[in-house]
Order: sequence, then structure tokens, then C-alpha cells
Amino acid sequence: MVNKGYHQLFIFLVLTLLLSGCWDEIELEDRAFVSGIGIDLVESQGQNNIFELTDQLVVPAGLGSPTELSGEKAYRNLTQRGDSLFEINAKISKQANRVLNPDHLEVIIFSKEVVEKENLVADLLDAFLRHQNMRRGVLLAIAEGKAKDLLYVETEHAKLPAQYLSELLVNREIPETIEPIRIGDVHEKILNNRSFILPELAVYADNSVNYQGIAIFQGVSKKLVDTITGDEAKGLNFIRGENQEGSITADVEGKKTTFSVLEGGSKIKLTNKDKNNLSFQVDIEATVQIAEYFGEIDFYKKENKAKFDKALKDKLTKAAEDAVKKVKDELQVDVFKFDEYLRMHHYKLWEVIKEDWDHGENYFANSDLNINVKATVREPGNTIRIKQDGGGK
Amino acid sequence: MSTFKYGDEKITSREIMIAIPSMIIAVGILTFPRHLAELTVASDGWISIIIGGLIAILLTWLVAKIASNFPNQSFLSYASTLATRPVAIVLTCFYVIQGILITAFEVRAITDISHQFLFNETPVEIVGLTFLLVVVYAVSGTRAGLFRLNAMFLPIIFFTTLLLIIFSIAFMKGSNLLPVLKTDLQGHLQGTMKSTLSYTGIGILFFYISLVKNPKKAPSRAAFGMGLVVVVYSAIYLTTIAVFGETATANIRFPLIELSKTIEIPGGFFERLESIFFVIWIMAIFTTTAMALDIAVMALNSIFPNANKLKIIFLLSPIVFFISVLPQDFMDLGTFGDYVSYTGWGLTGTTAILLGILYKVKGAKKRGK
Repeated sequence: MVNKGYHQLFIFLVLTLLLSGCWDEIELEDRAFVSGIGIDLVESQGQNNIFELTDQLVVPAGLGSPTELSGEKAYRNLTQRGDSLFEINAKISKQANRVLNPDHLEVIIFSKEVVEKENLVADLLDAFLRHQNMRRGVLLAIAEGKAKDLLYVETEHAKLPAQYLSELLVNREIPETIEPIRIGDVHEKILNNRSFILPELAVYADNSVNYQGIAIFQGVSKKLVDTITGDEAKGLNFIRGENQEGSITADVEGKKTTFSVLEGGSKIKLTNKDKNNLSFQVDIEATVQIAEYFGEIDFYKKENKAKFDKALKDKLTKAAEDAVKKVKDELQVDVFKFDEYLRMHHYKLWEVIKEDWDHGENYFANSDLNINVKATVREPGNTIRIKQDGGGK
Repeated sequence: MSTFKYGDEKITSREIMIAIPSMIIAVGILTFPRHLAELTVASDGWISIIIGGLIAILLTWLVAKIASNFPNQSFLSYASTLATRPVAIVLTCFYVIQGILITAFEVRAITDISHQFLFNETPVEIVGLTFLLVVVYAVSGTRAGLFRLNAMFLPIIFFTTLLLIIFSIAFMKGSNLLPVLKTDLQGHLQGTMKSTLSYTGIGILFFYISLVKNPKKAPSRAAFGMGLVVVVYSAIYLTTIAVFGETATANIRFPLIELSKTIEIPGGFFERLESIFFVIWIMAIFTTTAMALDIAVMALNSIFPNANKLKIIFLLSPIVFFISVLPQDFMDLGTFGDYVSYTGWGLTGTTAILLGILYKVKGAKKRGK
């Protein structure tokens, strides 16, 4: 009996050693979570590029508790140079006293210089898509200046610059911004040689970053071709039928009026199927509320309301046409999602033209585009007027 | 103990229904969307899954039907009645080899995957050995216990898969699913061939039906169990395509693992869920591996009825471990997996058709007399 007891004890000891998996044990305190990554180009000679990679590591002590922010810095940025991202990361770990862990990576920022090089953005994304601890939900953005600088912007609301940036990318109040773009979305676009867009950020002040505009990438060369801002960006969003909530300013009888969009949407229709004379009809719909008005017309009168509708319609049409002029005629890159529409609804035609869609023959640039806007002012807001006609007399 | 419900190693046809999905759902569930997305356009792969599934359901029913005609008889004994004893022994030996190969493949596959995603430092041999030891432990116990384990695990596997799909909804894009029905015939055929690979393991019915007390209902129950697998596969496939798009799915090594890494539970508190899903998949793979080894043991035991079950297990497990470390890299492993699946279909299909025809012929003779 005694002997059997020893046996069991022995087996128990061996099992505790084997099953605890101590080979991979890393305590939470020994991990350094990377929350943001910035990639800059230092030097470029032909095929050889030297990059500068900045890892933003979280310093948990600096974060404090949600109710009680601590005064210390919540991050530590480490930067190294090299020609492969994975290798630079390995170099960074020489500086770090903890094991780098990308599990909670929130945002990757490329500087404009990097993405202006052909194919480079696709090559650099490889490391992020290949590594098993990376998630496909990581947000992507472009920095107008150096990507590194964005990771040093501290704000009062968020102690972690990377957290600030990712929240900024998700927060969409105006139609000049786009829905947050994740690394997985870009992977699909790159695989199919389709054009895509990314948000562009820039340092605005010491404690803020500004959403600069929408960076447009050509699908075949996979490089940045241009950034569009302002009304062109709004037009792009109205044609894409995405992120239409926000404001639009138009003139009604010479007085500035700002509309806030309640609902909106767009519909694409192919009206001519001949591949050399493709013709699209885009129906844009918007329902708005008046947010700000400098004039004094009574919009409870029918003919006056029509004036607002008309002004809004003209403004939207103009924005959309500006976007078309820029994107289709000048850049000749399809980011209006017509490619998606054709693949979904005219698959046979798409199979024929997809290789030459927005490069080569460029069926996209040669197509005709008809924009049709339907705009309705649904609500005037809380007050009808705040000043009377000729009130100054 | 003989009054105890499970004490006499007998099961019901309901347990057969549970055993089928437990056996079929294995490592293949992590990779099959990639193979299908390569061959079909947009979401069209579901057709291949359904067609492959229907073939699998048919074979399941046929196998269960043949086996249930001989209640409480082992495979060896009814195969000897239908086709001579030497043929029956050869067939049984094939099932032993098949069982060993499936076990070895599953052990190696789960080792590689968990090495890549969970234990980067732990030597693969240790992970594989540990997993195999647990499998050996499960097989050493009563067979009825194994079935109860299935019954316990399967609802958890189905429930978490459903959970995964629900959390994926936020990341789905309807545009990825369109256009519908644009794959050519060639693509559908190849896709069906590929999808059938994910339905390997029907052969267990030849052996397990002999444990069923009253196997009358077994064929329909088994077919229903296979139907559940088809539903789960279709749902998973459509989810991965809707989230990643067809081209990305075709380029992701383990689409289902990637899916679990993509989803986030709203609230930001639980950002990383894949470790939970890993537990579930390892459970699914565990039941498959245990049953595959059990079939090898059971088949060998039927040839040598006097041999001790434990001795057979201790004889087989080193062989399994040795085979599992043979593949050099992921390419070898993939080829190994395809080979195991094809031979599985070949073996089960041949046995079913052979025994089916012989049963008809002998039955006709009997009626003729």
C-alpha cells in the first residue's frame, strides 16, 4: 500500500510539471503591450528602403484607474531603423525590458512618404497579416508628416496617443471622414488589385490631431495617388452612400444655411452595358434638418421650403460632381465602389473588364456618370426665426 | 453494477446521432473555408458543402443500415457472414490502420496549431505527447463513457460556434456574399470533392452500431447527425465569406481561427476571445481523436478477442505518436490529411458498397429458398 502511494505521488509530480505548460509562462507584468505602430521612411534607394518603426508600449501604471487618472506618462515610444519590419521589431525588443506583445495593437500609421512608393504599403502589411498574434481588426491610417509624431500627441481625454488616434478614427461626425478602415479590409482589396481609401491624419496642435482627409490608393500600383478633402470628400461619401451623417452648408438667397443630414443613401444603376460606353446612374438621397441659418425667410411657406430643398440639392449635386471630376476624370481611380457594384450585379461584364477597370484601358475613367439628387428638408429645428425681416428699422 | 444504465457498454441510437458530428467535426473545420473559397465564386461554396453533405448523409445512412441489420454483432462477425472471414479480417485490419492514421493526423495537426497560436516555446513533441496521453486515458475507460463525453461536449461546441457567428454579424459585409451562382460546373465539382474531405469518419458506424441495443432507428438518427454537420459547415462558411470576402478567405490559413480573432465583444472588456474558442475546438478535435483511436482498438480487439484492451492501447499509442511526428512541415501535413481523408472515403465507400451488394444477394437467396 505504501508503495502504491509513492507511485501516485510520483505521477502527480510529473503531471504538475508537464501540464502546467511552464515553457510559455510569461507573467502579465512582464509583457509590454504594443498599442500603436508608426512607420516612417528614412532612406530610399531603388529597391532598398530603410524604415523607422516606432512601437508605442503601454505603461499600465501611468493609465491609473478610469476615475482617477494618474499624472505619469502612460506610454513609452521606442524607435529603431532597419529594412524589415520584423527585424526592426526584434531590435526594439533589445531596448525593451519586457516581452513585446502585439495582442492589443489598435492602430498602424504609415507616413505619406512610405505609401507614395509603389507596392510598399502591401509589402509592409505582410508582416502584420502574417504574424499569428495580429488581428485583422487593427485600424490603418496615413500620416501627413511623420507617423512617429502622431504617437507623441498627448491629450487630456486619452492618456495613450494610440488610443486617442483609434478613437478619432472611429468617431465620424462629418461626411468628410470615412468609416474606420481595418487591415483585413485592405487585405481583400490588395489581393484583388482594387483601389481603396484610407484616412489621413496630421498633427494639428500639441494636444490634438486633425482628420485631414481621405487618401486614395490605386489598386494595381498600390500607392497613394492623392488626398481629397473638403467638399470633394463629402461628394465621395455621398456617392459611396456611406457616412452621410454630418453637415452641409449651402446658400439660400445669398444667406448661409447649414443642414445637418438625418438620413442618406445612394443607389448605383448601370444604364449602358456596352463596355466601351459604360454609363452609370447614381441616385443620392438625403433628408436633412436645418442646423444654422443666417437669413430670415419663413420656411412654413411652401415656396420657401422649396428654396431650401433646391439649395441643398444644388449643393449636393455640386459636391458629387466635384468628387467625380477629381476622382474619375483626374485621378482615374475607382473608389466609388462601382467595381463592387459591377461584381455583385453584373458579374459577366465584370469578368471581362476587371483587368482594365481603373488602369490600362481604364473603362472606369471612360464611363459616363449621371448624378441625380433628391434632397428633402424634413425639420426646421427648434426655432423658426430668431430675427425678423427688417428688424433693424 | 449491471443494473447501472451504462454499465453494460450498451448505447442508444441517440448516442450514435451525437457520435457522428463529434467524429466528423475536427481539424478540417478550421481550414475548409480556405479550400472552398479557392475554387468557387463569392459565397457559392455552400452549394458544394450541401452536395458533399448529401453524399455524406447518404453514405452514413447506408453504412448504418447495413450495420443495423446485424444487431449486436461485431463488424468482423457480420462481414464474415457476408464476405468470407479472410476478407473480413483484411477489411478490419484496414480499419485499424485508418484509425491509427486519423489519430496520428489529428494529434499532429492540433499540436502544430496550438504551437503556433498558444505555446510558442513549448516543444511540439511535448504538446503532442500530452494531448495523446489524455486521448489514451479517455480510450482506456469504458466505451460508454466516451459516448457520454461526446454528449457533454457536442452542445458546447454547437453553442460556441453559434456564439461566434452571432458576434461576427457586426463584421459581416453583405456585398461579400454576392454575386450568387456564378461558379462554373468545374468549380462546383472540385468544390464538392474538397468539401467531402471534411466529412471523413463515417466508418465508425460499422463498429459502433454493434453497441446499440436496438438499432432500428440508428440509420435515420445517424443521417440526422450528419445533417447537423452540414448545417454547421454551411453556417461557418457563409460567415467567413461574409466577414473576409472570398479572396481573403482563400488566403488565410485558418479562416475560423482568424474569425475568432476578428470578433470583439461590444464593451471593450473582452477583446481577445480566441483562447476560449481554442478550448472548444480542442474539445471537438479531442472527441474525434479519441473515437478514431477507439475504433482502431476495437477493430484489433475483434481480431484478437482474448487480448487485453489496455495492452492493445499501449501497443498502438507509440505507433500513433511515431507517425504523428513524421510529417516534416505544413506541406507534408496537408498532404497527409488529404490522404487520410481520401482513403477514409475509399475504405468506407468500398466496404459499404461491397457489404450492401452481398447483403442484397444473400438476402435474395434466402428469400428464394
